[in-house]
Amino acid sequence: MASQWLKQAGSAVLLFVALTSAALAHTDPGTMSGGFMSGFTHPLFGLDHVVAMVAVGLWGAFLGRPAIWVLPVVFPMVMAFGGALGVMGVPLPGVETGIAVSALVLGLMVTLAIRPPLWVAALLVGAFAIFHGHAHGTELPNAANPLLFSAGFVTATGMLHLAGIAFGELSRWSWGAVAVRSGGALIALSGLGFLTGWLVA
Amino acid sequence: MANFFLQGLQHPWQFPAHVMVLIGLGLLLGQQSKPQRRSGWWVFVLAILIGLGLTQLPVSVWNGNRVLLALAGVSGCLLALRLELPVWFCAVMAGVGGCLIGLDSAPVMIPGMKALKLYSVLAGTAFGASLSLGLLILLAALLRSVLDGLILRILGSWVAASALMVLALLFAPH
Repeated sequence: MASQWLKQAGSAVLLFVALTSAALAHTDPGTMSGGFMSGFTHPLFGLDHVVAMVAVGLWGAFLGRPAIWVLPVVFPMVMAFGGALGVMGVPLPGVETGIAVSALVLGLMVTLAIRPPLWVAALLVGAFAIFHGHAHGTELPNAANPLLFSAGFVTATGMLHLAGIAFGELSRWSWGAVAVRSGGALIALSGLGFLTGWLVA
Repeated sequence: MANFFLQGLQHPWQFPAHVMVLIGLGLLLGQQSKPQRRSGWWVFVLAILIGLGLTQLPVSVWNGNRVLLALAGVSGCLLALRLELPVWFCAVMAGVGGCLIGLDSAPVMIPGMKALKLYSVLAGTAFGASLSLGLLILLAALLRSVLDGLILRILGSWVAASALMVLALLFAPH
């Protein structure tokens, strides 16, 4: 009885939240909406970030449980560490190269259906997350509202992971498995493009 | 009077650090079992009332952002790890969070402002924060068994990552 009430109350809350919309009339970076949107769009304006983030979710879904939640959890946490390095001015050589390589390697993992042990996958994703975090972290001191900027780009990153997971779930079907591996190939090719310079991030 | 109450109601959502703590704490408590959820919420309500009351005493001004962000970071990490926490630990987290938010929510004092208006703002703040926490606990309770708690874990990592990055900024040499 109580759990039924809880479910109904929860559904009402979710419906209420879903019916509201954000008031984004003002885009002053110093305001709540402005700072958050600045950070939210930051990863989205870099194609190299986008493909790598989607690849993390895609690979996690491809590997199945528990990787499907481990990889999207490990990534932002380690990204925060990389971001902290960027914020503190600790130099990290080859940040852009590292980001391009992340797209190439993660794309290849999916295309070639490579299923390493969970700790290896987490280590690989974590290593790449440092580069992504460092790139975002160097922008943080310039943000008018760093916390909102940080929350914005972490949210965007997570949503790209979720998009990758959603796409990866298609592998349940035989046609979906082909689509997922093709997606991985596209991501790997994009990574190669960023590395060689024929694709601009 | 209603305007002042409404101002107080919106107050917690106007400060990013308060929002991070509410989200982290609310989702963490919601992820736990009923005793933890119940005790956590009640302790939070009590603690925020104490914190708001303390703002009226002649205490020194302090910057609670670092502590608030650290609390948000810890909540996010625990949420991502999906640990079954003891009741006392949840109560302590909720108590610290409530007290800190209350202490950091001193209303702007306008010369000549009547005491009743001040109390309206404080009451609104307490009500707004407690209601928000309650709703987040409810949301998390509903999500805890969806996709094996995946959504909550991912949200926890987002909260922790955001908070930890800004903490690094606050501690970074300028």
